[in-house]
Amino acid sequence: MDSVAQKSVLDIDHVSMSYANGNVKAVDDLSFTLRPGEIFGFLGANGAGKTTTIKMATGILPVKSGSIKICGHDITHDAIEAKRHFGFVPDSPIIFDKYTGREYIDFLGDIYGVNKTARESITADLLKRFALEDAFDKRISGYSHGMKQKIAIIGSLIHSPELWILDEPMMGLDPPSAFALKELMKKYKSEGKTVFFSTHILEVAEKLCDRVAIIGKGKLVLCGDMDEIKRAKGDESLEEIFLSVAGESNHE
Amino acid sequence: MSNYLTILKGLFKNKLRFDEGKSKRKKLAFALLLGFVYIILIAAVISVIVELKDLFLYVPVMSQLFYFFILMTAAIVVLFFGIVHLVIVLYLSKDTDFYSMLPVKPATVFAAKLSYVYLSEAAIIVAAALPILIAFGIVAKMWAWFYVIAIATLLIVPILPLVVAAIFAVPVMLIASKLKNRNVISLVFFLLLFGGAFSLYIYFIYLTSSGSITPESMMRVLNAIDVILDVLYPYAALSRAACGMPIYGLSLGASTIVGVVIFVAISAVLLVIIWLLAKFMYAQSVKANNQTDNSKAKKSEFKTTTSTRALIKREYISSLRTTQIAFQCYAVMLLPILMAVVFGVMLRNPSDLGQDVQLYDTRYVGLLPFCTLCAILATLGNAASTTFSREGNAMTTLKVLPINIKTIVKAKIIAWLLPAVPVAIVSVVIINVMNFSVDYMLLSMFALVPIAVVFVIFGTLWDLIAPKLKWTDPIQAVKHNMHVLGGQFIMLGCGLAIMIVVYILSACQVEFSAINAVCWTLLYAVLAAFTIVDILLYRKIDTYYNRLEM
Repeated sequence: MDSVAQKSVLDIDHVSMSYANGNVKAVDDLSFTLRPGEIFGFLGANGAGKTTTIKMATGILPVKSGSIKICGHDITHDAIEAKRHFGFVPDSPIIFDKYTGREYIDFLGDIYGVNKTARESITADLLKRFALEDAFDKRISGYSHGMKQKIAIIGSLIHSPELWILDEPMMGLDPPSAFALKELMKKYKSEGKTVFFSTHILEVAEKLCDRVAIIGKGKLVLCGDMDEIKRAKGDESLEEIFLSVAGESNHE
Repeated sequence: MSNYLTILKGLFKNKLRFDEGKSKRKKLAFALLLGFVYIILIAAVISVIVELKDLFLYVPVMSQLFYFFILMTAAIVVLFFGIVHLVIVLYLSKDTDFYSMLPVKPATVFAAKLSYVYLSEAAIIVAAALPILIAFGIVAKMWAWFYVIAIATLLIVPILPLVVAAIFAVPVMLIASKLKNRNVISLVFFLLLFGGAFSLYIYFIYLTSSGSITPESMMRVLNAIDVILDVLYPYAALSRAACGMPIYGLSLGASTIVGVVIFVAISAVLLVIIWLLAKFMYAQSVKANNQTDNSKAKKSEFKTTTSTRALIKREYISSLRTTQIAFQCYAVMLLPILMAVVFGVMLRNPSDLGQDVQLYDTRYVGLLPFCTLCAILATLGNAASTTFSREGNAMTTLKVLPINIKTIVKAKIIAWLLPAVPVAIVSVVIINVMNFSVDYMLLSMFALVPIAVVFVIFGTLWDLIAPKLKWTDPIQAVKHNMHVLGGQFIMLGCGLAIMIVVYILSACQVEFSAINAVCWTLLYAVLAAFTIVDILLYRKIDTYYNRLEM
């Protein structure tokens, strides 16, 4: 059991979460594991429980039932160490908009203990990829939604985390930036690191993911290798699979 | 006209409406807290009016001066808060885009916004001054026309300070818009204006309350008052008219009509000036909003530091780069120093305290400003008391980072102790230099500076218990935030409670040594109590932090 936990980058184990005094189950006994060097898509309809799961995995919401481990560190009992191992891009780019882009990266660099040389080399590449060089020394409050999303992406990678978590990352990105993000995800995977992202865009998930998990009403409906799932479902497209399983889940 | 009214109504609804989901109980508690504070403050002023009854009855000119003093106080309040309000609503407003796309003339939007600022200030003046004016009229046995004139003109009073505010704001706004650190420059300007106006106001009170009866000093006081009356001529004309003081050798009736006409006519001219200035400010705001910032930013460099220092720096950046927040956090820090100087000057010569005071032991009076200073030192905790609420959605980012709440709390406390402790030390030094005695120095050093420290810690931890994180505009972090208000009231209330005890004991002619002992005991009791509260709250910060849900 320990060896499995050590190998997994993210281990979600029988996690549940309820709202409204336990009357509404946002996440219901959810379990799955992410391995090093894969891109994992987390799919589900609106209100299925994706963001709640991600918020628990990142320590924003407490895990009241079950456990979540990141690189072997429990997010509840060993939060600081667990948080050192992932970078997170939220669904809405909530960042300190009084900072300039550079001040924001400096802040994160100071928190993660990234030295100046590493900051320079990591941001140089990412700024070029996302064409954000000219705005980097301007206040974030003056950025467009897409630019805020880009600086949030850059900030999430400043410490080269083993696990990269993104909640609806394509939202607000222009086509070149969305392409750059997808390329970056692939590059990250090629370095043996793991990408975990939620999305509504099934086409992106189908092309990019090694494995996917589909949740409905907080429950895991389907989880597995992309090709295996397709074979099992008679080579249907991910969209058709999603509609059939999400539909079943909603009828329950 | 209907568009004007719709926009005006919308602005007020947005200002007054509570956040969604707030229970009726909380709304009622908030209203009760505000009502309680209001009643306490009004009662304190009315008690002073009653104390001065004989002065009003036997020296009629004092009635006119007191009414003038009420008008001037109202003007100072409008000047302090109106200037920030004016700049925020007409220049820094975030709704310019929204109104620009509506099929409404910009002039209509501007008129509604100016009316909104004006009516907001007028409402504050009416709420604060009306009961005081009525009480004053009854105590000083003013004639019937006083009520008619004073109440009818109350709504016109904010015009003069708003014009002054706009005259100051326009050049600052234009200069600041050309510079990089516009918020810091605006803040410095507002602080200077705040400090300057407050000092002048206190100086006026000092001059008019000086009780040493020598012909020279009386002449000096009267000359100074004459100058102030001339500078604020519209208020002087109104106060003479309302109090039935004949002017220009005219009969009483004619004098009253002339005085009111002078005030109304000057106010009308000033209204045109404020209209033009505000229109210019709004035009600048629309212009600035339509311009895209294509300027090249100066390339900077990465700078490394520790995580605690990064968090401290973040606290200053986020507070200093929003003018209204900066004003709320830093302006209040001038108060202890100003009060220390004013009380230091006033108490230097016991004979300056007036004959009434000298009937008692003059050292009683030394305790009153000390307690006031203590209350004001408590306000140093104000900035810290909104530190988590001001984070808003950014708390999500903090929660994801590998830093524990103890580091965050430590950084926030250090960030607000860094300005608060020097302010406390400077205030204590000023008071001691001006009125030196060994026991006073030792007791104040070991009480006031630690009190500033425990209140800053208390403010930070108190806000962590239930911060208001759901807002879109940072000013909403403080607006209708009953929890923050409650914390600030607890801090200020301690100082005020000691003041009231000292006042009651001195009124009962208790021995000075006993009052002195009670006062210092209470102060150290407050210090000890808050130290314990801080420790208890600190022990539970993990619980408070974990239950924050975004």
